[in-house]
Amino acid sequence: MSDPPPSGSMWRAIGADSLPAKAVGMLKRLLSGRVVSMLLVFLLLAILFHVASDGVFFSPRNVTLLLRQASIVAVVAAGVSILMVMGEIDLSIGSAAYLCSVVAAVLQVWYAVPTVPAVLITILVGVTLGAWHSLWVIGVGVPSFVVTLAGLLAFRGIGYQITSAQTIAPLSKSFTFLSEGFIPPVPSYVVLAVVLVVATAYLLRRSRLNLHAAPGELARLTGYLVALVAAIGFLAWAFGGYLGTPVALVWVAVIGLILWVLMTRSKFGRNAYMIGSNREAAMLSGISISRELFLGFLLMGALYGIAGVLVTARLGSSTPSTGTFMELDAIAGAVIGGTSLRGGVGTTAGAMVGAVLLTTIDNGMSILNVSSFLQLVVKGLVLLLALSFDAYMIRHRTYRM
Amino acid sequence: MPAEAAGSDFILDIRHASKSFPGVLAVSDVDLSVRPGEVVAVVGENGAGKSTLMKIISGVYAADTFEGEVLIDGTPRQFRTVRDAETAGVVLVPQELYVAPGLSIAENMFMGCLPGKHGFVDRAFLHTMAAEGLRFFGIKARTDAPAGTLSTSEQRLVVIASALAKSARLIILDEPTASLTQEETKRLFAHVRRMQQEGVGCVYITHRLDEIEQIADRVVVMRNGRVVARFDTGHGHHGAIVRAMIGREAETVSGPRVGTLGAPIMAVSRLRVFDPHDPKRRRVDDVSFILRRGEILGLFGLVGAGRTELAQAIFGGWSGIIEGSIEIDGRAGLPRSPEEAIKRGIGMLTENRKQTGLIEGQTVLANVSAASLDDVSGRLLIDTSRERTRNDGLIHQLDVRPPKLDAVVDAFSGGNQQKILLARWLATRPKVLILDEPTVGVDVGARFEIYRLIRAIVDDGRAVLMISSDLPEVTQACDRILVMYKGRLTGEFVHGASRHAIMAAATGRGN
Repeated sequence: MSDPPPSGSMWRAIGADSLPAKAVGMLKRLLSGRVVSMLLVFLLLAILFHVASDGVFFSPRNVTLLLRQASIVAVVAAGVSILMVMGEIDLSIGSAAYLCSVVAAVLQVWYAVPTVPAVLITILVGVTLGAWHSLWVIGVGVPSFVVTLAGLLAFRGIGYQITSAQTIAPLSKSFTFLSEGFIPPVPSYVVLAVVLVVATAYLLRRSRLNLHAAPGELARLTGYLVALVAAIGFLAWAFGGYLGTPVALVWVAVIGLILWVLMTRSKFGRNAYMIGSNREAAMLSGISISRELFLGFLLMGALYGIAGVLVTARLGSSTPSTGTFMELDAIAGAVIGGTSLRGGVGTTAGAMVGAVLLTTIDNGMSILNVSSFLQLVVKGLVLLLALSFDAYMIRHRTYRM
Repeated sequence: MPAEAAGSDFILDIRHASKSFPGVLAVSDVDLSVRPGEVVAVVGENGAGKSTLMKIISGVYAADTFEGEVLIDGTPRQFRTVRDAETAGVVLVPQELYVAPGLSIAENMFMGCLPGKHGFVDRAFLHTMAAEGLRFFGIKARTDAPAGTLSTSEQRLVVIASALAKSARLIILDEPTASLTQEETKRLFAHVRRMQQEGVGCVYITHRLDEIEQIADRVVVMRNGRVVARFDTGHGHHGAIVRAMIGREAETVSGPRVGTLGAPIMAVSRLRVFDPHDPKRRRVDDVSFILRRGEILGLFGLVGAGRTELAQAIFGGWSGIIEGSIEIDGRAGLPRSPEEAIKRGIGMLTENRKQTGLIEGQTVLANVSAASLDDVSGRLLIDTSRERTRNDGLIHQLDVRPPKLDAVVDAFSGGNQQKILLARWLATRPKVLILDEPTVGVDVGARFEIYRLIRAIVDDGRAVLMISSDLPEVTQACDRILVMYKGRLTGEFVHGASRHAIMAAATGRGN
C-alpha cells in the first residue's frame, strides 16, 4: 500500500493544505497565549493591588490566605470544566455544596459523628446528588441546564428545611483543620522540593519522547522549567514566610493532580473531549455517551461533597448563605480559564487558574476596601471580557476554516 | 487566453484576481469571463482555489479583501456582501449547504428572502413556492415539515432548488452534484440548460469529468491557485484536463478482485427496518444478502432507497424497529448499538463526514483512536506510547498528509480527512467495514487512492459493503453490486455490469 511519494505537484497541493493548518497553528499559539495573557493580567492586577495597598497584597500572609480562599472555587471550577468539556453544565454547585455542608455540620454537631466518617458520608451525599442529576439528564433526557437549575432551587430548599435556615455550629477542631490547618514551613519546603524534583523529572522524560520530532521543544522545555521553578519558589516564599501550607491547598493539589491525570491520560477524559466536540460522531464510534456522562456527574457530585466539607471547615459552621453564587464563580473561573461553553475545549488546570484569578480580584478589592457591591460589578465585567475573548476566538476560527 | 473584448460581451469578467490568506496565496492572478448563456466549468483538485475564486465573485469576501477587478456586464463592481452580489444578479450555491434542522423546509428554502405581506410572512405564497421547488427534484415531503427530517442529499436538493428560484444573471454552482443521484443530476442539468436559453451565465465547479462533457461550453482548469489550462469545448479533452488538474498522469480505478472469494462473513436475512416516526412505513423491506471475505459489495440506489437505513440497522445505529436477522462470523443477532456492532467486528464510515464522522477541534491521534481506545488502554489509563505507535503506523499506511498525529483534523483536506476516518475504522480491526459514500467531496487523485485502500482492506480477508450514488464508482470499484429501490433489493450485478441495467433497477424499471 505504500507507494513511492508522487512527484512535485502533489507536494504543492499539500502547500494548499497548510492554509487552514497555519490558521490552526496560529489559533493554538493564541490559545496558549491565553494562558500567558491570563498570567499577565494576574501580574498586572497584583502589582496594581500591591501598590494601592501599600505593600499588603504581596505579603506571604496575604498570598497564603488568597490561595486558601481560592481553593473551594478552584475545586468546583475544575469539576464543572469537565462537565462543560462534555457539553453539559452545572448550575446547582452552590446549593449542592450547601446541602453537603449541612450534612457535614449536622453529623458533627447534632450526632457527634467523628471527622473522618462525617467527611466520607458528606462526599457520599454529594455523589448521590450527582447521580440524581444524571438520572434526569441521561435517563429522561432533560437538558443538564434545566436539571441543575432545578437542583439549584431544590437542594438549598432541602438544606433550609433540615436546618430551618439556621447556622449549625461549632464543628470540631479536627474538622476545621481540614481547611484552616497549616503544614508547618519545614515539612512544606520538603514537600515542595519533592514536587519540584518529580515535576522536573516528568518534564524531562516527556520531552525526551518528542525531542527528535519538534525542534522548538528545547525552548519550550526551558520555558516550562523556568515557570515551574518560579512557581515553586513563589509558593515556598509565601508558605515559608507565614504559617506554612494551608491544608485546603493540599486538597486542591491532590484533586488537581487526579483530575489532570483523568482528563489527559484516561479513557474517560479522552471520551469526554470526543463527546463534547461531536456527540453524534462519538456515539457512532461506539463511545457510550450515557456511561461517560454518568461518570462525569458522579465526579461532579464527589466534588460537591469535598467543596461542602471545605467550606464548612473554613467557616467552622454551616450558614444559610453558604455556597451562594458558588456555581457562578465556578463557571466564570472555568470560562476565564479557557473552557468553552460549546464543549470539547478546556482544561481542569486552566479552570483552577481562572478561579485563582477571580479570587485575586475579590481579595485585592477587599484589601482596598472597595464595597462588596462594586466587587460584584467588577467580577461581572471580568467575566464578560473573558467571554468576549471566547466569542472572538470562535469567530476567528470559523472565519479561517 | 480568452479574447478580452471590451465591455458588455461578458456577464462576468474577472481580471487579475488574487486573494491570500496568512502565508498562502489561495488565488493568484486569475482571469475568468462568462458570456450570456454560457456554462463555464471550473475544475481542479481540492485546494486548487476554485471555491475561493467563487467567493470573490459572489461577495463572500468583501471587495477590499482581495486584489483584482470584478466586472458585471462590463461595469466594475465592488460587492461588500453576498446580498450586494445577489442584487446585481450573481447567485452562489455554495458547496457546504447548511440548513436549520428545526425550521420548516419552506422556511429553509427562502431564508433571508421570505415573502412578506404587511410585515408578516405570506405563508400561503411561501409554501406554494416551496412545493414547486420540491416538485422540481421530485422530493416527496411536506413543505411545513422540519428540514431535519430530510436526508442529507434531500437537504442539498432543497437548497439548490431555492437558489435556482432566485432571479439571476449569473449562477455559480459549487459542486452541486456531490451527493445527487443520476436522475437528480439530469433534472439539474435540464434546468441549467433552460436558464442558458434565457441568457443566464453559469460557472460550474465540479470534480466529475463526465459532467463536463454533458454541460460545459468551456473548461477552465485551476491548480494551486492559478489557471493552468483553458479548453474551448467540454468534449474530447478528458485526458488533458485530468493531467492539468493533478499535474501528472491519472491512475486508473483498481480492477475487480483477483483472488478467490472467502467464506461468508455476514449474512443478512429478511431484514425489515421501520421508520422511527411512522412505525408502519418500511424503510427497508425484506432484504437478504450474504457478504463474503475478500469481497467489495456495492449498494447502489437513489436517495430514499433505504441504503443508509440498511447500513444503520446493521451497525446498530437505527432508532426505529428492526425485524429479521443478521449473522456476523457465525454469530446471530441484531446489534443494539454501534458500541456492540464494533465489538462484533463491524465498522461504519458514515455518510456525512463533518456531522457524524470527524470529531472537529480534536487531534488526528484522538480521531483515529475514537472507536478503539480500549485496544491501547489499561483498565483506566491510555497507554500513550502504544497508542501513538499504532496510530502512526495507520496514518502512514493510509498515507495521510501531512502525517502529523498532533495536528487538529479540521486542517486537513477532504481526502485526507476521509483517510483519517478510514484509519479510525481500520484500528478497530473490523471483519466487515461499511462505507457510506466514501468518496463524496474527495478530489480525483485521492479518490483513486481510496479505492486502492479499500481493495487492500478486503485483500486482507475482510469484507466491505460500499454504499454509493456514483454509478461509475459502483461499477468499477465493486466486485458485486446490489441495487435497492424503495426499500427492496431490485437487482444484483457483477463487476463491470452495464450502467443502464443498474440504473433501470434503481428506478424500479428493472426485471
